[in-house]
Amino acid sequence: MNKDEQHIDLREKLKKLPRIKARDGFESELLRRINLLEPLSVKSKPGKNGLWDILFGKKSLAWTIPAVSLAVIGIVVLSIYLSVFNTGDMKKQTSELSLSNEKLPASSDALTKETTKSSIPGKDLVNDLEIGKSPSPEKKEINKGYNETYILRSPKTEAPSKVNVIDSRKETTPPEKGNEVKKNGNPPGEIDKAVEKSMIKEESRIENNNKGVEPDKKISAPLIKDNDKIKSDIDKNTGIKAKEDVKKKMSKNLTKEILEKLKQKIIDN
Amino acid sequence: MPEYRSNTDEELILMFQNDDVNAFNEIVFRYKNKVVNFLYRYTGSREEAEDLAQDTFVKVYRSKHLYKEIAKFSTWFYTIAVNTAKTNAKKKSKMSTISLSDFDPENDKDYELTDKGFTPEETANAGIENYHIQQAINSLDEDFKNIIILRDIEDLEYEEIMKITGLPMGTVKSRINRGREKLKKILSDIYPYNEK
Repeated sequence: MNKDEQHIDLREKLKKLPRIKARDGFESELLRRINLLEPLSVKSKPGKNGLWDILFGKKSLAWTIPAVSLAVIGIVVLSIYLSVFNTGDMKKQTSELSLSNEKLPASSDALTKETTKSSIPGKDLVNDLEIGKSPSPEKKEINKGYNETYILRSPKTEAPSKVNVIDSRKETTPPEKGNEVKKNGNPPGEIDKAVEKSMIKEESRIENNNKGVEPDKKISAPLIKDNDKIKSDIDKNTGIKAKEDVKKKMSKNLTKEILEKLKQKIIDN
Repeated sequence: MPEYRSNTDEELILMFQNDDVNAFNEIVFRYKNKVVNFLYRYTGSREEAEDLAQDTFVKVYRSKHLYKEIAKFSTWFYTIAVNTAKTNAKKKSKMSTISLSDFDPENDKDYELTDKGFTPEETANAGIENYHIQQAINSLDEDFKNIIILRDIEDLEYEEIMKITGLPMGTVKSRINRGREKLKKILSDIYPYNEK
């Protein structure tokens, strides 16, 4: 305080200096500056608190690096384990598939055989005739071919096809030998004469066509007709054709009705 | 903000730390003239003083979370103001060392620089004596200038000056004493009839 008293005159002069006041627009100018700076500070905040900064930034904690590395290792191990587990499942599935494929060939071979037979149904008959087998097995073969074609049309539903096979056999196969003889006028185990003729025709045609025509086109067109004839002959005997006719008529009627309804709707609209 | 008038500075800054912007407005209201006056005496320019005062308040606004109750708010606030003034002075000194002709050597023409001293109106209003006193303050070294202003113009306590400057008490007292002697000498040189 003594030193203050020594320079009391100077101190008084300094204290007497006029007080400078801030201008009227000082606060508004300050507010403008703060508003200009605030968005920058808001933008800079997320960068400071970013994950990378927390983990590896200047302010990163010591425990974060081992923790993160452990977490990464864990994720990798888990992913590898899952991938291995999935591949094991895949192997199981493939083995199952291979087993099923191994089982399939018998049936598939049968199917292929059937298809080949069905694609050239008359050929079997011809071959059988050539060999000179008894007529009753021939008939069975024809029936078999007919049924097999039916199976090929709906290969997914095996059970119904079997039923159909049984039904058709019931229908086609003679219930009693004596009854068949009476109906057809032929002895039991013999083919109809018309069928025999058509088969002979087929044989001759096949022989003629084998000389210059492509193997695929050999039998297809004429044989289908002949096969239809055979079918129709068989159907006549068995009564299947009648049922088919009824079905066709029903379907025709239904289509007609549907068409009429559609026409009416179109007219109404 | 009449409802904040009863609060102390420390209460206001704590309220502002809790995102009460009106508390900050009250702080601005209380300190704007003090800081402008301090910076005006430090720089010798009103515009520069107001600009630096606004910078000081912006720093307070942005670094409100750095204030702790252990110190007086005025001490913390003046510390920011002194540091702002010092950094500005350093910038000015750096700028003055670079010649303007270096920027455009081909056209070596004279540049008209704005006078950062008193305008004629200011000198007329403040009086010749005040003008010379301000000139004497401006001529003081940085080490003495801020301490003299804080002690003899702003009338702060030694302890507060010590905290603001971060110097020990002995250093503060000696600097104040030496600064006053220097100021007296300058004033006697430029305004000799004052000694009468």
